[in-house]
Amino acid sequence: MPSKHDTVPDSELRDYLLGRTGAEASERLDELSVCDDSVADRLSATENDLVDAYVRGELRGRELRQFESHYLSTAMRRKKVELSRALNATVRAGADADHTAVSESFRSRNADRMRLRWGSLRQHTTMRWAFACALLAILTVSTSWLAITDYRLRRQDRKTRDAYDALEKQYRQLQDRAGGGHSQSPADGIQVETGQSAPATQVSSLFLPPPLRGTQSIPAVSVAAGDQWFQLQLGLESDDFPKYQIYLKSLASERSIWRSQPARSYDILHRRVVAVLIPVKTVQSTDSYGADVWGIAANGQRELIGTYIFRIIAAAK
Amino acid sequence: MKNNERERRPIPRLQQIRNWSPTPASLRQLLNWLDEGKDSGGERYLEIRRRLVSYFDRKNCDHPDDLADETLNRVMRRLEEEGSIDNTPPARYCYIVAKFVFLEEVRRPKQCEGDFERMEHASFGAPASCPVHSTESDLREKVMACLDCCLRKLDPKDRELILDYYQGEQGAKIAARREIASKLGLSMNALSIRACRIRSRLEACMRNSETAPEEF
Repeated sequence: MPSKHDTVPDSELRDYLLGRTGAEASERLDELSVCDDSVADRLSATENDLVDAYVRGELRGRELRQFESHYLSTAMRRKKVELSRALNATVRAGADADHTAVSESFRSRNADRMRLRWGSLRQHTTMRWAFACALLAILTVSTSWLAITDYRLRRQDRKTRDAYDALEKQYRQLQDRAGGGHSQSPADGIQVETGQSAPATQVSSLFLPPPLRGTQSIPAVSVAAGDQWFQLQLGLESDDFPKYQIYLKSLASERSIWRSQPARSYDILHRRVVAVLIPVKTVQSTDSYGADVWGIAANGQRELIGTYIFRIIAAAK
Repeated sequence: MKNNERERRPIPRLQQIRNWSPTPASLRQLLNWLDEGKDSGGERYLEIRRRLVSYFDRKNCDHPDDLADETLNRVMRRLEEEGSIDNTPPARYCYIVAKFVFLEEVRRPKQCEGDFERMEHASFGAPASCPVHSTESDLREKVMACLDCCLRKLDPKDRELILDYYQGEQGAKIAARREIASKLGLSMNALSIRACRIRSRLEACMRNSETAPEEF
């Protein structure tokens, strides 16, 4: 009895089906085709493949002749060929309702599978592109905002430095003028700054905004004993005049006690300012004073712009 | 005296054989013996029968189904008489009996006339309204319809498998089969065997189908 483990190649099974094997080999394969499960299954599969190949027109030459002369010699095998033809046509025809109703679900499942695959692939790609575009937009906006902010800050920084430099220059100029002392005008008895340099001493400073109507607390400048000067920075609402002159008056007596030389305004931290250095000896502690600002036009005409009220307080020792 | 002797004489073996017919019990005994202890629900019997039919067909016998049934009937009878057959595996025993049946078939030339008579009788007895297929395409259409009917009778999973198995051409078909095998957790060989068995069931269905064309 042939051993189950004898290997029979598919080519030999094919020859056996086409009647190309000798008597001894045929008898051996006859027995194996009934007794050996493995050979029986493989023989069946080989036969189906051979029949399918014939139906699809893949057999050529001698093999085709032997198939037609030997294999197709019995009615049963001819029926196998017809079944193969019908099965292949059924699979190929797909969803023809008359002949292939059962394969319709198979085709639609296949179409659904393909649609799903393509759909998910398209969706995946679209999402990737959308995400990339969003990221790019965010980066662009962020970069632009940072660049603009950086430019603004640099410009502000430049202005601040310019203003600081201007202030420092003005301060030095004022110091130079104040250092020259004051002479009393023989005509009206008002002290006038003469433009000589002041000695380098500590100066108290007070900024006064443009005067507003209504009751407000009177700003004060603190003056210590030993101070020779104090500075007033008078803010202007608009810079309409090429030069300005300040007259200091006592509110108690309504008499002018000091006046400045005509001077230009300065831009300090976005504000137009007229700054003056006033000798401390012209004022009294705890008294209130008014600084009248006069604008001087190019033709010499004068106009009172406003009166800036302030008071002097003695600094704590 | 002679009559008594005649009554006591044993019935000739040949006559015993000719008088024998299978019973449910003998069929059950055959199924159990073919299963070799594993209950296959009759699948082993059908598989052995299929192999015998193919064997007789390859031997160019005219009626391979009848010869396969004859073989199994003889095995069934022997099993009933002996009680069991232990010295030979069931498949090999069936093959040995089939060989004898084939040799008898080959040595039956004098019965050809009887066969011819039977064929003539059969043709006379054929219904007058036997359909004649005027064209080959007409036949093909009927075969397709019969196949469609048999496909519907299959289990849905088997139907899906057999249709998927034959989908595509050449390389694409091989790739598709690999995918099917992978999905089912089978080797390519196991898938091929399963497809073959489904196809055999389709063949049997079409042979037995009332809607099958006469040529089938």
